[in-house]
Amino acid sequence: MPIIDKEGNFLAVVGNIETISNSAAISDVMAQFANAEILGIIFPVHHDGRGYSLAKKLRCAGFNGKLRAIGPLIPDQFSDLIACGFDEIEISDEQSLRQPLAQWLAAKEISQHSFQNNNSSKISIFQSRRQKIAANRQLTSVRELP
Amino acid sequence: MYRYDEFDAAFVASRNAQFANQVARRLDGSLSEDEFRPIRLRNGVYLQLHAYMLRIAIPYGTLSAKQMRVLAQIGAKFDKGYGHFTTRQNIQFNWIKLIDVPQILAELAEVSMHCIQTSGNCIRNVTADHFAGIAKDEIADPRPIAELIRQWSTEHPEFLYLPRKFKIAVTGASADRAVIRAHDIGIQIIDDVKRGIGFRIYAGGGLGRTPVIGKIIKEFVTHEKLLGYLEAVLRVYNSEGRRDNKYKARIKILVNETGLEEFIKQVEAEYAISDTSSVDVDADEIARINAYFALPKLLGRSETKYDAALNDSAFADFAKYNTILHKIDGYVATTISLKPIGGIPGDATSTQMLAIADLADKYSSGEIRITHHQNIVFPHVPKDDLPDLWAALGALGLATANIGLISDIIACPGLDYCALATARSIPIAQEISKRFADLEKQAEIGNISINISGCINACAHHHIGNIGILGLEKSGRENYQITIGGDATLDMALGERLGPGIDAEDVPDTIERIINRYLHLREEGEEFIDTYRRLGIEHFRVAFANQGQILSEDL
Repeated sequence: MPIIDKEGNFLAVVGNIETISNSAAISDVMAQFANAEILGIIFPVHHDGRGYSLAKKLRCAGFNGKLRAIGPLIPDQFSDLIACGFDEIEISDEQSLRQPLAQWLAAKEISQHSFQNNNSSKISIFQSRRQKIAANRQLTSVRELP
Repeated sequence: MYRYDEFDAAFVASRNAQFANQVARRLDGSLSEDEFRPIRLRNGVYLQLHAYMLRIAIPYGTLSAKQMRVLAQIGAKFDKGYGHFTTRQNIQFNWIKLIDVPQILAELAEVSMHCIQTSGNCIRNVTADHFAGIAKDEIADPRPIAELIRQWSTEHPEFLYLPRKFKIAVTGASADRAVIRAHDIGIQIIDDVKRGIGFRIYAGGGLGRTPVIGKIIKEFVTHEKLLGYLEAVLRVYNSEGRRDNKYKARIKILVNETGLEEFIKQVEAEYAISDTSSVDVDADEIARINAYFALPKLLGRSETKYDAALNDSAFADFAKYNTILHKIDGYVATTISLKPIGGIPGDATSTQMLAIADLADKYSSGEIRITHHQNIVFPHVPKDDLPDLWAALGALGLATANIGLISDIIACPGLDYCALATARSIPIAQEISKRFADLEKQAEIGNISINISGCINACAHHHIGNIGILGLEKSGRENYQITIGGDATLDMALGERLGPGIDAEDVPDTIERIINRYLHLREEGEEFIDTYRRLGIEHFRVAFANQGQILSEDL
């Protein structure tokens, strides 16, 4: 069972971690796992999007541990999972053979543009525009100096 | 009009590269069909009855002459020389080869167009009033906020795998021309005495097999807070919406099953704990987007040519039915009907699209709108140019004067194209339109909407047509249910069924009897919907039940 971390490294699973269902209530999870170092959220199928919102809610509630997405997820979901607050993804051996690390890295690389501000290192399009406006203003004010 | 900046353009380019990569991985087996399907749908590619269908986004129904030209070329090069404008202000091509899709996407990207999120279980293309920015009854232009929502919802990482599709519509006028209460979220711009301009939010509307009228979930949200609030609604829906049954997965079911009050409570609780700083929009960005939607320079014009042309009764009819007064004196917004008598509602040939693009450059500052009624609008036509425009449209077969009349029928593609359809809708529309071809008769009948869906998914919004026609399949035969009394405005109402389903060939007679009954019953100044509301459905049943012959009593 390989794990892909945020930085794009393939790691082997070591030991067991606590996991929760993607339909878990946020209050229950925080009551039980608020201080956990790492918590796994189960994706029963790749197109069940509840896990994304659960991760987002946990981050909003102040959960500071690592979050692992566990299930038949695909490389194309890599960036989105990180954006919603996940740190790593655990997939099956079958999948890691069919979709090797190179595909995960390529999928992440290809989606570098995003309109949303989020957890990832990506700068959102809204932020880029703000920076551009600020830079233009600075330029204008420099030009206006006598 | 909104123009892509370097960031929008870079986004679409990388999205196309991404899709090409995904197609390649599907072909080499890295992606299974089940994994690929949502990706394909989110890029607008459907597998239909005879071929692939490609649905291209026309955000809030606004496009330029230049963009229309590219749509025409795509129709000519990759389809059979025509395209179909949809009830969500998009265009779809029904005869696309999968192998051509990357090339089509590249050509679209050249003119800032794409197919992103025109399908799939995600936030779909945002729609708005087709008279945005020009209507006299407007409080504020809905397009800037629709554009902001387009950007926010585009590849939103949290909401790409929702329980089901999610549609948002915005209106900024006192009359709702965007059918907001039939949407998952409807946004109404309001001008509050104390708080100024803001948004009233409706949720849980939708048609399909369980039609529900959207309800108010928030009386007032400010511009800055809107995206954060929408995000809270989506988060509740993504977490709690049903995933066990695709027919119960829309937000309307969640709102009904949870109860309106409890649903609102959940959204408010979610909003309270959300970190909305990441989506709150600053004034600079709002100003940047607003600036794009300023009116083109419209100079004061004489109206003498226009006034003189009104002596021609055919022109006068066109001016009466197909134009509305513009905010700026001396201008009209002109609707080009894609409902010629006996034609296919919403279809336009590539030749027509090219000509429309040229005419838009000449007579409408290069701007075009698509309506959810499947017609085309030239928003800024100088009144004195209208006679020339009308003549040019006439030569193209596009000068039908019938907007809002009985032959201005909304219809889905139906069994002629659609894999989901249970019956044909296009031929039914054609027959009804031929039956009422006479403009004098249409004028006598007055404002009325007929909506024809070829299956229970209700793409043509039959529930909210004044007369709704739903095509089903009954023991191997097409069978049509007729409803009356639907209303697509802010006073939205669902139509009531007149009786058991009828055969295709009986539909035109039945509609004619219903109309004759209405003409017989109506009082001075009443439209169809008014008579229905005053008297109720029972008064129409006699006309419906009397199949095969038209009683003189009804005439």
